[in-house]
Amino acid sequence: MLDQKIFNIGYGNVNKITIGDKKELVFIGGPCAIENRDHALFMAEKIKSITEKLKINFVYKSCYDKDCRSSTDSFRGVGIDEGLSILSEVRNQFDLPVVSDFSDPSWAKMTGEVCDMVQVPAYLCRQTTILEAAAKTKRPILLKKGQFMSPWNMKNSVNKIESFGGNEIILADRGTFFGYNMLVNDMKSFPIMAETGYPVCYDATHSIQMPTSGGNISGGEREFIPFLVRSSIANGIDALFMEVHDDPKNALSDPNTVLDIKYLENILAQAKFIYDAKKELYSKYGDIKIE
Amino acid sequence: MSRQKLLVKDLMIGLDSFPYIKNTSFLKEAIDLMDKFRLGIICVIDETNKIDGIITDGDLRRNLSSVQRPLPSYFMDNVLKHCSMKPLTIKDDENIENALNLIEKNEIWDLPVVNKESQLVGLLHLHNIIRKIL
Repeated sequence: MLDQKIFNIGYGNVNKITIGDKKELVFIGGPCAIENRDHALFMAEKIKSITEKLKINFVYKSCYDKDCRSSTDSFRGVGIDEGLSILSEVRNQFDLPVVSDFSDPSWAKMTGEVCDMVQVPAYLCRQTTILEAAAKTKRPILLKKGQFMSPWNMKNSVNKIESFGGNEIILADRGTFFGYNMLVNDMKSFPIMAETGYPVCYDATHSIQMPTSGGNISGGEREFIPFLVRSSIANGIDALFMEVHDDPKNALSDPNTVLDIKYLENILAQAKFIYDAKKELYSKYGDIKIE
Repeated sequence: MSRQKLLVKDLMIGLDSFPYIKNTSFLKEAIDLMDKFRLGIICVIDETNKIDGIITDGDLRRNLSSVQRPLPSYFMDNVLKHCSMKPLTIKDDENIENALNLIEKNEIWDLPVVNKESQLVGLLHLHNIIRKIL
């Protein structure tokens, strides 16, 4: 394993979050898409109060343009100008670092100027122009592992980002295709991706997605979220990612996978408990390296 | 020149004639380079050109017979995972007799050569030595 990389998420006046030092769990979450200003601010406030109560570091996530929806009839987003202005308001009002993805290289600069972290969508994780654009924002990059990618081949994407000057990367697993319309999690992906030295993240709500299983929309098996979250935290991740909504049935994006906020506190409390227990175990017994 | 007066640097092969690779590389990149030079060895160096380890054909053979993972996963391993770390080395200004003794005593074919700063500067390869001194 290469040296562990530690870096901060957050610029300006927001709460700066350290990742990679294995001290505190980082939660990255929010509604899949920015639906409107009031909803974004409402969700940010709600999630912030839960994470503050639990003493979990929080990065607010929401996207302004969902380019990967199953149908052209699906809601795509509020657009880059309005979306970034809403995210900027979330930052200023709640002192929260924010992250959004970008699906077109030309959107990267503006996204990086506002957001504390930029996200590379899973389907685009090996596109050189996207990775170059992400690196040039000079912000930390949340790099999703493509559902079609092996965890070891993500090292190529990391190398691409590094070759363009990026050196703050979080590698996230959001499931791997298991035949058609189905994803599974290979829990080996975390130690394999961690061999890069970069922090690793588990995206629970996309992992339970059943891609385009509904014909023109993706389904999901939300009931497995708590099981998978507990497994991934015990495994040794640095960050947990979950999309959260106050009314999943009427969510404008990913209605079948987003987590109802009424479950968030319980799940995050369990996640923190397991994260801290694992830390204690490591300090007591050390890491187990099997040759 | 008599054999006794020969120095390691007189008989070593230079950096352009044997493979070496940075310690952040993938195993597959090391294998490709080994293939190109056909010496059965590659040296792995850090960012200051100091030698971290070596990988030989034998190391690869032994690893391959025990690896249980898919081959693409094995290829993407960091080179250090497959290195013999802290290999025997010899200074470039030492007498060749010392090098030959080391090679004979340890039954090895190759000795990486380093300078005073412990940076990799060459490789003593048994065939080349024999060719030159016989």
